[in-house]
Amino acid sequence: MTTDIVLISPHQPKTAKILRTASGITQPLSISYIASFLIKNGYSVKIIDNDIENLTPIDLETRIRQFNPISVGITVSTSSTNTAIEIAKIVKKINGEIKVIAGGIQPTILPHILLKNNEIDICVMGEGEITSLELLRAIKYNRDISEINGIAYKKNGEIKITEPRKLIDNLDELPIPAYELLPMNRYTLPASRRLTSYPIASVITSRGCPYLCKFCSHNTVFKNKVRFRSPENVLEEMKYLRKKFDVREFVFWDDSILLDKNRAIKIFNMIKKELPDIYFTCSSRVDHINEGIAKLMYEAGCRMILFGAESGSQKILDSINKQITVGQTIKAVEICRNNKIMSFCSFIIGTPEETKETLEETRRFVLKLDPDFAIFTIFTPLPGSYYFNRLINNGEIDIGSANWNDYINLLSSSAPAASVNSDLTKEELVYYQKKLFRDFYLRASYILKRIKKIKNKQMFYQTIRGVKAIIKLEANKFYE
Amino acid sequence: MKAFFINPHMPASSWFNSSAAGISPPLGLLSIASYFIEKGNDAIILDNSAEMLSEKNIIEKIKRYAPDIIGITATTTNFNVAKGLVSIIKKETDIPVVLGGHHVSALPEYSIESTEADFVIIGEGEKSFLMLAEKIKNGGSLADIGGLCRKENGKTIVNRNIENIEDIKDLKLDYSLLPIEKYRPSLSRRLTPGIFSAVITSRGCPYKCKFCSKLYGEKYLLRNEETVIKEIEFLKKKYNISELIIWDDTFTFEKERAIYLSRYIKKVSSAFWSCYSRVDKADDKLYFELSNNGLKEIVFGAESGNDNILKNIDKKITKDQTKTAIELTKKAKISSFVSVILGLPGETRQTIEETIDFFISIDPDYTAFTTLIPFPGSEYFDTAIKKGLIDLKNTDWDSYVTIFSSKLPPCSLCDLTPKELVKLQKYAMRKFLFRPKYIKKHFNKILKEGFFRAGTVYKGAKTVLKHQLHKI
Repeated sequence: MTTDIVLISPHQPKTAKILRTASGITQPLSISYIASFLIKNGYSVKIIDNDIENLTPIDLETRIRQFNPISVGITVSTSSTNTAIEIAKIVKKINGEIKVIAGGIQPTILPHILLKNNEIDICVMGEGEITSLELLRAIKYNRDISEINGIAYKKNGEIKITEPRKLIDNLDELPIPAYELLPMNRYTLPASRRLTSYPIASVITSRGCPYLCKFCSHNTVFKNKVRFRSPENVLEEMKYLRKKFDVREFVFWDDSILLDKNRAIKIFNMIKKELPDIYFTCSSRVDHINEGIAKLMYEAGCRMILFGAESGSQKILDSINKQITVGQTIKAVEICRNNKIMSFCSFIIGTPEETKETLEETRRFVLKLDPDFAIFTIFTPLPGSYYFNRLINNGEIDIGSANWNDYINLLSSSAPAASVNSDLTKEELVYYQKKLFRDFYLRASYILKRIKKIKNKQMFYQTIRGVKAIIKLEANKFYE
Repeated sequence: MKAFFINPHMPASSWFNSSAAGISPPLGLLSIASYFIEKGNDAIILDNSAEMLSEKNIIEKIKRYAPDIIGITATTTNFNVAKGLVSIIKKETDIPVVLGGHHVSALPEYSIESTEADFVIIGEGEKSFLMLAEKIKNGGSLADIGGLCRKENGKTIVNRNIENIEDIKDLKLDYSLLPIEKYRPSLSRRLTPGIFSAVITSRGCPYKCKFCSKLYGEKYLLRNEETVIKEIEFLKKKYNISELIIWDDTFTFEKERAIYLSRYIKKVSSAFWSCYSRVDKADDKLYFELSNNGLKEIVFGAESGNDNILKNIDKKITKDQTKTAIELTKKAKISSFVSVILGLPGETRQTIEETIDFFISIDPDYTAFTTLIPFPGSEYFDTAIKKGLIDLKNTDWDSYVTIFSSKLPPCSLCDLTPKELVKLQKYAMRKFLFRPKYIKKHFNKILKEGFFRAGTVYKGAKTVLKHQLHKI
């Protein structure tokens, strides 16, 4: 039995172990989309989601050996750069002839970081479906790869980067992600976002975002352009998931699902009508939500919305180019409360303009705001973001010596990747992060509210999972 | 374990076609038999479309082989023949009989209830058949066999979870199970006077045309190239084949792969070959390279000369693409064969005229004007059932013949009646074929290719004339 390609989602580094306690692991949509696209074109594909399976190196080797692949594709995020390289080494140990391809955000932005390892043969840059297909064809039938757009590869020790890959015009043309290749009943959401005890599934209904927040790296891949799937196409996928895997809890991974309100309304109405027994959680910008749409969302099964609130200081919001106001955040949380939807606010601390005063502002703001859940991430200069480029240009980050294991912005067990802030040290940021978590979650009124919300065994265990994560974070010593 | 596989012959209603149409190896059945043997069992295939044995002789053959299980494949057209065979086998023996293939996959309940078959297998049958044979022999519950339809206490039960058999991608088809010398391609696809066989390099098709009975759903699987090449090598060595049909729905879907395989075809067999493709996949460079490697003819499903109709059937091609594709085949010195469907929804006398004129203007080497037959499994079949145009209990499967049929189509999905359609079909053939230019082209072909081409042209002309003179 041979396989044309084995797609692997690598495990996260040890530094993410606290994060893994609290957070869920959801379906790796990127490789699932590539898998189904390749399968549709007749190729044989296997997926190893090592993020959830956590196989030992020996087991991983045995598994790959069984599949007997021609090539292996690994999706690489910034934080999983090192683990991806470990996996590439295992593959090359099995058979040096197997072509190892890296795709994802890290190879897109920093292909040379990956290609400097002998074990990585080719990087796919940007959107991966079409590039992977062309690449696999070329590898399988011994064709030249130099004319394939959107890749970086080595030739005589030199790194060549080809013309950029054009984005796919019509997302409806892509087949449904290859969910059937994944261990579907093992995936779960973060403790704070779980709504039912049924299997969950990730769905993405659009790609891209028109905003230019300075901390975000999405725009490098999606070029500031938004492409939407049709509501019919989205519903087809959801109905398939409901029928085949008994999924009743969905998470929409769109940057902001309400970006095109008319389309969103159509989707919610269709869910209400055709999938009356499902729940979902999604992300939105605080300036996109209104009473009418929140009411409809609740009726369609939305029980939680994640907002990127980012900061309680207007000065910081302006500096990161988020284009929202603190007032809008307050309003959004209130709209959710009125419509029985839980609100989940995410904050970033330690952006370059942050000071002790703005941090204090955020602390007071979140206590007053009182969303159902809040998380406080430490600013990490993600490759591809505006800030990352600025830091490189100023010589404040040396890519060559960066430790990618530290590029975890939430519940990391290591110190932040880079201090970019003149007013605050890394130690102070970690201290503030802990303090914010403590001050927010260890309020009597908050604890009471959470206990009241426990309605079944499932929710009890989820709450415990969340509590454990906070305790672990508290107990973790970053600087020894 | 021993299995006996049968590919039944075609019904008399399609016999017009019999001298013009070819007889091709039953590759689906061959795959099931090869898989069965690979897993350590014995099997033989009786391809009765080639052997044309009488029922008595078939029974004799079965009794002599004494199999544990009998597998019969059926298309819609030869379903009645298969049904008759099952009934006589059940009368003469008590061996379990399994039906498979396109027709029964689309209509499992109907097929098991209207025949005396013990089981029906839907979809890809390799693994389901093997599991069933093992369970029959060794006992155990049949409930967990995916794709199996059976009767239990008078009730029909269908397990629709088709078994996943990805390893068939590497499975080598055992062509020695088939009477290769008895096969021949249809007249219009004859390339040499020598031995012919068909091969398949992929399974399924990624498109969703509404007239197609999709056995594999949306599944599309490329077979292992080395295996395919080994099969061709075997056919060359053992039978000295001189021509091949590549049976894939769209061989050139993967250009690089088509070129890669064509090089090996040339290398291991130097056979001439033909294949199926889509007009939207036409490509200059590709055609030249394939032509260099022995490609002599491409069959296109052009379907219609009217863009609105093309749009309705979800074929995802346009008239212009057809025109370009035919031009490119001419440039690359490849013959073109276009298949046209008359009577698609929205068809009128005008659109048929338009279609005929269009194909005359682009002038492919061969054109097959077929009438729309709503085959079970296709969207149009469901439409016909919903509209009450087909009654499952009374429909005559023998009339499900698309071309050179001696019966009227079972129904019509456009405003023309079946009778009018057949008349227009004959008219289309006349108008396209009886042109001085067309006749001259084939005369030149005879001059160039010699005696064997004279034979095919003569037989072809005879079939057309007989059909023209036949009154339903």
